[in-house]
Amino acid sequence: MSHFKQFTRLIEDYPQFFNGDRKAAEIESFSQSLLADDDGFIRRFGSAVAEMMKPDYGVNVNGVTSPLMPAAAIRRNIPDFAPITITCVNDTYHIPHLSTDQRVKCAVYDADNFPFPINAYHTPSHFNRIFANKILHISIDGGNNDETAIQINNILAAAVDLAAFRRVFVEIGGGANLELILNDSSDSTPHNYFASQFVEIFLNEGASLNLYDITDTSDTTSRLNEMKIKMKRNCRLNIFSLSASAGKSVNIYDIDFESDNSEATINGFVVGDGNQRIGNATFVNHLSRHGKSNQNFKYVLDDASHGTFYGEIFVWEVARFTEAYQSNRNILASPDARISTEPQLLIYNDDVKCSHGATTGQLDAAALFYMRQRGIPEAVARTMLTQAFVGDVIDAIPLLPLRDRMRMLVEKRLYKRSSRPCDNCRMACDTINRDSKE
Amino acid sequence: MDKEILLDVKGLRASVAGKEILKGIDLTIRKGEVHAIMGPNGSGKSTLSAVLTGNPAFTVDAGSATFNGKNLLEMAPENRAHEGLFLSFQYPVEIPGVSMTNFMRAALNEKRKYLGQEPISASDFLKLMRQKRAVVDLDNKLASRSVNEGFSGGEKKRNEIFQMAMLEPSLAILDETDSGLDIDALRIVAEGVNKLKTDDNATIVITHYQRLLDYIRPDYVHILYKGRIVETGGPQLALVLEEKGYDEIKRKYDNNAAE
Amino acid sequence: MSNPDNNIDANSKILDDVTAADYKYGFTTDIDTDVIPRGLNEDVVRLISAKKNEPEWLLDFRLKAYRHWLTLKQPKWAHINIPDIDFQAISYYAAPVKKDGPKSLDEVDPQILATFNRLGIPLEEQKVLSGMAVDAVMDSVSVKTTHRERLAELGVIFCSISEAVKDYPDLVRRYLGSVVSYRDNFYAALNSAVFSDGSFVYIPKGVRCPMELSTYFRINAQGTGQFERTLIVADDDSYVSYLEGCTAPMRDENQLHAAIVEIIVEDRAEVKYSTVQNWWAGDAEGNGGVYNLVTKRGLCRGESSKLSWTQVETGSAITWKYPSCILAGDNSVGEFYSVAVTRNYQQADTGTKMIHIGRNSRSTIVSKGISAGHSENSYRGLVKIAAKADNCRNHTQCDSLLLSSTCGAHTFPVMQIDNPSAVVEHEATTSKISEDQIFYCNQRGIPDEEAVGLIVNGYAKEVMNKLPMEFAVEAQRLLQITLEGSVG
Repeated sequence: MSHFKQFTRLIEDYPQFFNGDRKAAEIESFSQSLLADDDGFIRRFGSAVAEMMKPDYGVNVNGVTSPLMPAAAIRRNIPDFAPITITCVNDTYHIPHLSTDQRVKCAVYDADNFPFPINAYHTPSHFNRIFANKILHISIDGGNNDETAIQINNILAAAVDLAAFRRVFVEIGGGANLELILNDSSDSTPHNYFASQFVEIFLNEGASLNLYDITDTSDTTSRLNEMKIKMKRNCRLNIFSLSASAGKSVNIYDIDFESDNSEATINGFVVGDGNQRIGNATFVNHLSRHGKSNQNFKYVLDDASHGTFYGEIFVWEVARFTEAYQSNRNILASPDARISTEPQLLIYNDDVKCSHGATTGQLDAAALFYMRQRGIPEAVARTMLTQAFVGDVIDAIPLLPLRDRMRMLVEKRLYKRSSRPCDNCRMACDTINRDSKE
Repeated sequence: MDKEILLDVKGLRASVAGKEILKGIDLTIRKGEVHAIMGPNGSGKSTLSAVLTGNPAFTVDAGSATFNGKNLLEMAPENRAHEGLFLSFQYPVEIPGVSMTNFMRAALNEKRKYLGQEPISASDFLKLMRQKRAVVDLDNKLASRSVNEGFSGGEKKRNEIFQMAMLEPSLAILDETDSGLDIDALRIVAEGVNKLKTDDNATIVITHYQRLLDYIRPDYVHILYKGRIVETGGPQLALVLEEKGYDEIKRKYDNNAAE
Repeated sequence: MSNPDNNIDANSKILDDVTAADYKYGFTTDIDTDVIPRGLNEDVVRLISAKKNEPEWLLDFRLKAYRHWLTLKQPKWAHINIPDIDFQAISYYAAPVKKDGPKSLDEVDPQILATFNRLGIPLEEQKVLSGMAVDAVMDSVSVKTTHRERLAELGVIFCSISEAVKDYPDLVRRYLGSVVSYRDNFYAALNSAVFSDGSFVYIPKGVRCPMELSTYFRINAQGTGQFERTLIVADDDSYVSYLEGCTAPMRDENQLHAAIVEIIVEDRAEVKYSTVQNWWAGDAEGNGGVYNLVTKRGLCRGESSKLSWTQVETGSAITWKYPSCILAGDNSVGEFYSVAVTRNYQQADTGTKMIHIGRNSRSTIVSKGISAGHSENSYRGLVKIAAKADNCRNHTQCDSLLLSSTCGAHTFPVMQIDNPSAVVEHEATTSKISEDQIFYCNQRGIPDEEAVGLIVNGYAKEVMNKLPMEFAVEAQRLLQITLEGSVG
């Protein structure tokens, strides 16, 4: 349990906050999952977790409410886009009044009164379950396919080093469509923040979900995030894992194809610099027939940043006619950057089409020379090519306002790094691109 | 012969991966001139264009190249471009994810910056794009796509000439621009080049065949063989070559080149 | 279009037929064997050493390894279901007894000669294979090494490791355990404690070994394990191609084979190591078969040195082996070409490690897995580029072909890249045999079984082509036989 020592010590030192049968069972299952490490989480991400755990975080065991900070919340909004906006300050969810739309229900429960089982899958969710005392419950009624958009702005703000525990439970009714944006941000701050998040999502028959998991936080912010998604028949799922600036963070995306004929994609990018430690793990479990999955992860690592990718495709005996693909491509941009990648295929029946590919290399030297021959300086050319490298992930974002915002976020970040001013960046060109399409 | 010298190459030797390709090239190009460089495969034609434009894969072993009175070989590839050197690539590179618009705008504005000019305004840029597209009849759709990605062979070559029109170089090197073109595309590309021709710029046409020279009339024809310019003459040299083939050249110079 | 389910049934039936082929090496040889009692303790280690008249330093090495082994547990990380092995139920030394005392050093028991003849490895001087020198190992000891004199003229040493310990103690002592330490892993520690025999090869500076060197391993005795140890040293600017073949009788019990191969490649030297592994795989119900738990590793120590592993793995109930290259020299090259076929209840977890330490080092990995029946077939690989290893290249191609709906095919690669100038590419595909291809063959009059044979051979060709001629033909035939009755 050494990786989570400061939290296990907390349990020992303050037993009054962790009493009762439920807590006892949760603590027990957490220590079991750490010990067994069946999914290799500690083996692969243990060192990243150890880094996260260096500061001594305060924990809100008393359930003190963090007030809504309207100004900060508004800044997180995306232009030309008006979703239902939920703001979470540290571990307090502030939900808007939703009387006008009966199809969408949002409520915050005490974990003790939650009417559904409180599941856990991998080590981070086991860990989250012990400390998360509130659960945000979102449900979308089925029966009509109007599109619903919900944005959850997660803001970390405190005057001390703080650990926050967030838990989200989402049910999407049959045939319903949901755009769900989780936007993690923290302003640059001298304080260290740690966020533990577990999101569990159920898609009923024919439901579809576009899930955007955006991290744009400071270097002093750590995040241990697990998302478990279960799909019934004929579902469509697109996950976008967008780590524009993610301090130290590990994300787990675990998808179950419970019934036939569903499709899922996971598109992700990581832009890392400084001493960032960024890990992504995917578990795509094909448990039924005619499932299709496609994963595409891109990492650009600069300075002394370290990246880890673990991607598992599991095709069970029953999951005939499965198509499962995975690609992980990485660029190391500095001598001290590191990448470790493990694309894994476990196949238990023969009527499948599966492949994975992983490459690590440099920017295309021929393209670089071509650009320089046209007069574009090397540093700018590199930035443009890097931007293009992660561009296919951004271009796949179906929500236009968000696509523009992500593009800007990445551009801002990349141009900040090159010594040249950003007069070639697309922020200025947006109008041109639009005009030239006439 | 009294026109100003643009490019002056003397005793240029260059190698790639330790293998010497250029074994002493002398070449003088003045404003307003069109030079054709011909030669069999492997004679060093593409190496010459790569070395002049500063491709880092090639090493210059000896000799000099002066462009606009400046030492070309010391300059970074982008600065050679800013000085007015343009290469139409034999194999234009596909750059997925970088749109033609962004690419061209970056190239143009960097040149302007080098020359101490303000960046071009968005509307002027668009106007310029439209205007120059017409030179080679380039489809508007291609301009909004990624650089060369998914372009046919002919479209790629037209795109090269379009970029040349945008950047208005003082010396353009056309490296086998005719290869892979059908006769119609060849005419369009050649006409584009001719439209851009002025008394103040110059062109080097690298080609295998005489065919392109029917459209772009050279003032001088050089024959490059085994890393050396073995013969120089007027347009009629290309016709002689077309008639007799490279075997004649090989027979004539193989003994000399062997030492 | 016919009902796909019928197709599946028909296909699996053909597969079953094809995979149910006979194992023609399953006979036993009736010879007297000197077998020490089962069980393992320090006295057994001392006894083995004494039987072989070993010097003190080697006994020390064995004892250190044994004591270290006691501190280790049988590893469980591989994707194989390996029962706990009772290491006290195995005899650690078995040697064919020479009748009436040896008349000459070269004389070999006619029974043993007959055995190797039956395996296609003639040992009599007049019949020996001309292009190949063979070290024949039966159970724990080397019974005969051919062509020794001719090789000696060039300074090439090719003999059993026991003889090498006596005749070239300095060489053996310098290199033994230098690539695979006894601390390396559980089975390596066990082997270091009890290894019985194996081959020793030394190619002196500048010598291109004129013939293939080959060791043929045969387990014969019952209730024994085989723990051979191979040590190959290629000095500067030398070249050698080395082949390894293995078979065992059909027995209901599981036999343990825990070998170590160590290779040292010096400046500009090249070693090509080829294996055709055909240990008894157990019967169709998964009874018996050899547990093949092997540590093979080469150190490309010299600049521009090259080590190439080629393996065709068709036998063994369980295969656990990762022939690896430590590319320490600048410009060194590592290669791994593998075909692994599993059927019935066979389990294979095999692959390689390419550790890039030298600058400009390059490696290529081509792995072709073919699984049938209820078997499990995994590729496991590590490509590591050290921080100071500039301009390294790796390309990995890893394909799995599935011939039944009840088998498993898995890919577990790990890439750790600590240098930004590296180019590392990994590609893997998993698919079943193409029905279009089979139909195309059918339409040209080729029945399913032959069609599958053809397609599989084509699929494995890239690897088979890397084998030396003599071996390639044998390996191709073996692949065909192994797959007979496995088509679906």
